[in-house]
Amino acid sequence: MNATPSRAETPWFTDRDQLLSMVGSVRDPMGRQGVWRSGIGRALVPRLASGVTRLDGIIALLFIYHVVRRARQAGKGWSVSATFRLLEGCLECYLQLRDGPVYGIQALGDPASFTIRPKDGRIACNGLSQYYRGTCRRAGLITQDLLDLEEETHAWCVEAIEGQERTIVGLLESVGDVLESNASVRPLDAFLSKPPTLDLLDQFFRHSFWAPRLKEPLLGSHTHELRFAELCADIHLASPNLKASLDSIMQATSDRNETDVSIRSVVPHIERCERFICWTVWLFGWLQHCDRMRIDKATVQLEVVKDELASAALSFLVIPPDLQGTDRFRALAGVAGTIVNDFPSTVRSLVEYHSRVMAPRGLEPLMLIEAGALVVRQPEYGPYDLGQITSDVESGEWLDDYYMVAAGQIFRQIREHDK
Amino acid sequence: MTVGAEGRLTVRSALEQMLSLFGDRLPSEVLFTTFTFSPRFFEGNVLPLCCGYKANELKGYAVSRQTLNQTLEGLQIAVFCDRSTQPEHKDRLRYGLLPVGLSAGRFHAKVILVHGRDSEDVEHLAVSVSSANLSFSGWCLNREVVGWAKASPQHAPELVRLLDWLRERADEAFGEGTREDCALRHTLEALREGTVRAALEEPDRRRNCSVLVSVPQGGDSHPSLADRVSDGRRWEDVTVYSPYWQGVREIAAAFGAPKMTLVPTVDSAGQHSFPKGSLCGAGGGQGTSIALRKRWETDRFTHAKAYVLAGGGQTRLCIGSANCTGPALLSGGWLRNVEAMLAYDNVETGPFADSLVPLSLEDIVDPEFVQTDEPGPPPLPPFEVIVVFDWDMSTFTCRYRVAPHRHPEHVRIYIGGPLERALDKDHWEAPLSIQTEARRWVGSFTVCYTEGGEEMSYRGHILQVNGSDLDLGYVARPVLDRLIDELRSLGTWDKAELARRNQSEEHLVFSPEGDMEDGELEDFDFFAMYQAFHNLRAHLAENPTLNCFSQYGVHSLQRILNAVTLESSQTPRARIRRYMVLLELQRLAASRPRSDERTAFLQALEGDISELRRDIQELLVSSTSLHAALKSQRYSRGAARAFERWFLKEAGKDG
Repeated sequence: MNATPSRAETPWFTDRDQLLSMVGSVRDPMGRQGVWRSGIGRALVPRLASGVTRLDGIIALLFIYHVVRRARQAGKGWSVSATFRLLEGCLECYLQLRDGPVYGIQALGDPASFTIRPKDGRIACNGLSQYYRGTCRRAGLITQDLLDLEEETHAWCVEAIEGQERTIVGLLESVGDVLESNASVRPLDAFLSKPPTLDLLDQFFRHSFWAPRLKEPLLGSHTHELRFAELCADIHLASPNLKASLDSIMQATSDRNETDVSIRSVVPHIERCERFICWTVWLFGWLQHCDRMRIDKATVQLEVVKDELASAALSFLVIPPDLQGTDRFRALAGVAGTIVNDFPSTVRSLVEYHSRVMAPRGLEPLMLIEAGALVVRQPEYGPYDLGQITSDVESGEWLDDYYMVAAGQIFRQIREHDK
Repeated sequence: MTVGAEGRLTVRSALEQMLSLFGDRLPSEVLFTTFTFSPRFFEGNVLPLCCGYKANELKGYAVSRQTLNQTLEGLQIAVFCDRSTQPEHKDRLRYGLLPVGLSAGRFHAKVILVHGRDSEDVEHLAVSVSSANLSFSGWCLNREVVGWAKASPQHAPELVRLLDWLRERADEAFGEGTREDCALRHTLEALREGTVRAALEEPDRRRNCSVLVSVPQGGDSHPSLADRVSDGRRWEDVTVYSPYWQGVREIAAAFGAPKMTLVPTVDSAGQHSFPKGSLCGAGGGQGTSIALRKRWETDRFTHAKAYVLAGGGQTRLCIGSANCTGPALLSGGWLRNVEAMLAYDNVETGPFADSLVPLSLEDIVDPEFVQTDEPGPPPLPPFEVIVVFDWDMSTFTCRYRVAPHRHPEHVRIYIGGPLERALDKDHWEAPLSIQTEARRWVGSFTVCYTEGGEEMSYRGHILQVNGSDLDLGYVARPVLDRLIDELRSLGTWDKAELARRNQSEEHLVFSPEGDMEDGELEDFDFFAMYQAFHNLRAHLAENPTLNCFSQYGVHSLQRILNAVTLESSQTPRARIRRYMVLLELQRLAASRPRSDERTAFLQALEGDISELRRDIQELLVSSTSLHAALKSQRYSRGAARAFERWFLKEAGKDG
């Protein structure tokens, strides 16, 4: 044992531990998107991601992949991420010149002064690739490893720029010069001031060429998937909220039509799923107002919405297994089961579920139960009325869209040119 | 006043200062005692600190369970908390946890004891005592009080008393002849030995700090904690900080000082919770003048407990877990807590005695009329119940007895969902034994009961004994499909890759969370399995020095056995799959040179194979497709055996 004398430390009153209690911004603390995205959300919209609302975005991504392939075939050792970053910015500038933004309008700002640095390639600046490439992969337009075009897509790209061989070779040279210099460029000056490049892009971005080719890959090859996209375009985009939209879709479809039956077998479950998701998310918000409250007291307060909550939970539990998707869905079903069968454990179940959502993200929960009481790391103050949650759920102003906006928007753009 | 890391005064900084005594900041044993325990907070923040991480490394990403468990192989950590707080169960992390209980009192001590060696192999033992529970509230939010010291001879007797009391609780919980989870008793033993060695040193006269531990002892002849706080001396003035108050007059009498200053805690509404009735009336301490003072802002809950004693030119400062209540400080009442304090003689008490201003009665609210910021203690359960799962026996053992003067009714215990039993009599000496088929980790049990007509429930930990690291989730669970894929690609690796995979458990072939859906078992590629075993056989032939009975490495048969054992065998398909894999393991093991390891491995297989063989023959006899294929209605058990022999012979043909 060490014999070196050491004075006894005098004790201290503690400060708040800012480092350990630090909470960053947390999106979706109840993991609701994980509940519907891989299961029920994919039943009728198999391939589109939520942010994919413009056909231009898909075409732009295919153009970039085509240039990357051409560069690779020409033996250029360009950084793929830098090439993507450069062309992404270039094409967004082009699209804004011609039509409007693809994505990242904030980052783009004024095309005349917009500059790109190839070294920003590691940063998802504008989001075109980030948001659109998953859809392109599911649609079979690019390879599973996200590195190349599928052969059929490549053939379409070649067809789309037929007669523009010299221009694209020139574009490749310009791109190469920028990448090798690693300098910041203004796309408007570097590429888009040249009429041949604009002509090339105008030719490539013909919606009339792409619409028939991309229809099934993007919207689904089954009749009911295409029909649902049409309903999204005609009904959902015009509806005030998801509930009204789902009601209208049920009215617009028939039990006697085989295609409609496939849709009608899913739509009520979307409502069941979303209704319960909203309950859990908004109850979590309510719990954030209950810092230091004993969970038995919180449970007593929950009694005022017990019937509505239990009804939503029971409804969630009847969603069939083939629409349930991931483990996240099953975990939320566990919460629903607790609400129905063991209501006093509802608060504990919600907090534990939240903890399970946060763990894979490497984040600590925003809420803990300590000594039978809630400890909220980022407490919310002010009134929060449980009755308000009931009316909010009933209003149909729900949180998720089950890819219906994307399906409706893409269908509209394809329909316009697929005649 | 010591400034902690990051320039902050926190509970964490006390632990960090203690850990800095050890080489690489890694001690060999750490003990935490607490009333409330929050496993999620502990595992995400405190445990990584003990494993050598710094606090700023913990924010933004999680230290993986596997990484922590690897470090914890060389570091023993034990946590004791109070069972009445019904803590959540711990995650699959390699540290010991034992909720302990008193039939009439709380386990309330907040002690950290850290033992190990520095980089020059010099042994150190450090002790921290505080008011802070091992929870997010205690470590991050509340205003607490904490102190620490390197252990010295004057600390040893009290620490040994605490360690011995904990050891008795552990023996009572786990019983004799069992291997408890994370060798909790071994941790206590190592700490006790370190403490005893500290006691053999020369007392350091310059040290002025001592540990006071109050644990239940038979009879009332032992001095109360109040006596030990006052050290049997006569003080002129006693200032007390406490969030909870009870029996103030009796406590004043115990201290015997002519003047007492009390500093209650303020809530966020600016109200101080204090039982005004205790300032007047009977109960002793009439000779003491009691004044109330305030100090704190309303920003945070103050949970600190401190006693500042002054008189005759001397001072004594005691800090720690003891509230100013009878169960904490006095020995005569029905309730008596386990508490721990640090006492400092003749230190600068200014930071504890200054800044006090008079508190008017209008700012005081009786606790029964105020919603305090801190929830009060949960009720003491009216019984003691200990549930142990023995992995060797696949048996839950439940010990149960009713606490004195309590009368619970309709008591039922629920373990892991489907297991339910009535607890209608004493099961302390003759425990209730519940055999289970499932070999899976169950963390908690629930006891439902009524008392005084009210329905209540109590949730407790299931203690684990005789479990392997695999059983307890401290090593990742192998997944058979991935092992098979690995073996199939065996011929494609270079020597470096092979050496890397053989060195330790290969994470690529383990399920990250150990979860696998039963449905995934339904499709099994038998061709792949035979190819995998063929490759393994060839690999062993090329490398005759490899020991296929080792625990780890690509060539380990035990690893495959673990993987197949951990999979579900509920469905006929899954049982067939398990049977086929076990037969291949048996065939390969039997082909190896004779050794004790080979004998043991084959014996381990034999029981399972015999049982499964009976199952498979039943399945064959009742198989409608086989009846149809053989076009026979009189398909006998003998024919089933013959069919099975033929099938295995054909399936076993290499190439």
